This record gives sequence, C-alpha cells and structure tokens, in this order.
Amino acid sequence: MSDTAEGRILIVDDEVDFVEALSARLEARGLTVRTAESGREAVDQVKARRFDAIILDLAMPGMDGIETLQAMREMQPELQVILLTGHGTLQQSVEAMKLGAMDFLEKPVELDVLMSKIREAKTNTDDATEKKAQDLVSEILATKGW
Amino acid sequence: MSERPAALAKKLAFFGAITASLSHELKNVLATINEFSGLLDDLCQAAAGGKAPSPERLVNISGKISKQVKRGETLIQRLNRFAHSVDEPRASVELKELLERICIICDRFAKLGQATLERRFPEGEREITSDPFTLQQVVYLGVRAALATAGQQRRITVALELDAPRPTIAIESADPIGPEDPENTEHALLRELATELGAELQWTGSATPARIALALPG
Repeated sequence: MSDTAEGRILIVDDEVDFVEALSARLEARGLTVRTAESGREAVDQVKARRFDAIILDLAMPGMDGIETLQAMREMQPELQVILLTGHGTLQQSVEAMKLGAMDFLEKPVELDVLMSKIREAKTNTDDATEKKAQDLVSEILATKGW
Repeated sequence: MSERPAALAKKLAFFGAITASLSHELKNVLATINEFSGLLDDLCQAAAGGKAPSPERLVNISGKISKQVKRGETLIQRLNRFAHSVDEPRASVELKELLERICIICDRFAKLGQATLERRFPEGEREITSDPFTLQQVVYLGVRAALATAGQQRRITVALELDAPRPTIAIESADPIGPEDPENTEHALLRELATELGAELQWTGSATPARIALALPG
C-alpha cells in the first residue's frame, strides 16, 4: 500500500457497514482507527483518548453531527474534525466551518482526498501540541525568572 | 419570477422533504458500496504482494455489497412510488398499503428523533377514493407534530381504524402532543389538508394516548 500515514482516527457514523469498510481501508494504510455509532459515544471516546482526526457524519439519531462537533470542540478546541455527509447543504457547511470543523466532504468520498485531509489534520494537531508545549515552557521561564 | 401559490408551495415542500430524505439514504448506500469496492481493490493489491485474503473475507464483503444493492433497489422503489402518488389527484387508494408506505418513509425521521414508529392496522383491506399524495402529507404532518413534542416515551403509533362509521387514520403518541395551535404553520396546514380531503380532524393532544385522528369520507 503506497498511500500510508500515521495517526489516530475516530470515525463517527451510524451506518455500520460503511464504517466497517472505511475502517479497514484506513487501517490498511497505517492509521489506528476507532469507531462510534453515535454522537454520544463519540463524545465519550474523545474524553477518554487523544485523536489526530475525527471523521464525523452529519445526520445521526440523537446528537447530530453539528451538535457532536460543538460538544467535542468545547472539550478540545484544537480537535480536528472532518464532516462527512450524504446530504450537505450550504447552510450546514457554513455552520460547521463556523463551529470549527476542519473540512466538510460529501459521500461517497475519494479515499485519496480523505487521506490528504487526515494528513493535514495530523499536522494541525502536531502543531497545536507543539505550540502548547512552547507556551508552557515560556510560562515556566517567565515565572521562574531563570 | 412570480411567487408560487401558497398551497402549491406547501405541497412542493413536502415533496422536497421526502425526496431529499430518500436520496440521502441512497447516498449512504452508494458510499458504502464505494468503500467495499475500494476495500476489494486494496485486498487485490495485497494479494499481488503475496497476502491473499481468505475466501471467507471475500464472501463476507460480497454479501455486504449485495445487501446494500438490495437496500438501494428498495429505496428507489419507494422514491418512484412516492413520485407517482401525484399522478392522479383522485384515485382508488388501499388505505393499509398507503399508510405502510408513508410509515416506512417516516421511520427515518422517527429514528433521527430517537423515537419508534409503530403501526396498528386491522386485518382486511379498505379502499377509498381520495388524493393519495395529500393523504400521505397529512400522516407525515401528524407524525411530525408528535415527534416535535416527544418526551420520555418517544413512541408514536400510526393506526387505521375501520370499525368506526368512517375509516379513521390516527397518529397517537405515548407523550402529550399538546393542543392544536392555529399559529403553528404545520398544525394549520394539517387542518387545511384534512378539509381538502373532506375529513373530520379530531385533535386530543392531552389525552392518553395523545391523538390526532382523521375520519375520512367513506
């Protein structure tokens, strides 16, 4: 497999067969994949683990994609979320981007496009982690006066 | 561009909502088939590199693709039947069959609202002459009214009652539906369409179960 990447991914979608196939394909490309069938389950997973990217369906029973995005970003503002939907309206895509989604893709999605977005998400996550560490070091230096 | 007459606009809105819902489900079917097709490609590549997949895995994948194709066929059939329900403004309608068709479409809305949509249909058939499209729209609006106020129980039932003097379609909810509100555009539309059908609308939103019933002309 030539198109590989490292990273921890969470796929959130109530279409079980779709998730099974997409997980297998992403794992074959070197990614570590977890799945959730609902927004509630996804929020619990994000509380418990770090992810480099979330692939999130828009239309789900209970908490929909927008509500789930909001809940996850409140917990972790730097979380990289890619919304995936079978039925995206312009209004929904604008709302999603305002809430901090990284991108908004329509199903069926080309895997090379998704992999490119996942790599971008991983870079953003790594940059955010590095910046946090730098900020912490600066704070320590400022307070300790070394 | 001139404005559409209000009545036509409301019917178009219903037509749009249902076709959008069915086409969304179809997209999910295609997306799933796309992923399994891609997975087969991946497995072929792995096989070319000496890692052949097990026959069981291939059978499993082909089974999943078949299942989605059947699901897609069913959805297209539903879309087609719904689209054709506007062909005749008055037609012979078998009530149980029509109710089952609109209930299947409304199942998705109920699922998204985390509610269950049950049916209570009697034995036997009953045909009436009516407007099949408007009948479906009235049931849809009744289900929406129940979903909008669904509370703890989240259990909605679409019933057909043939033992009353007039055949009656009832949408019942285990939670209160609340009173009919003339300011609520969907409540008002439901009453308007009931009148159009020549049906008597009975709204007992605080009863147990809460109920919106349409007594149809025989």
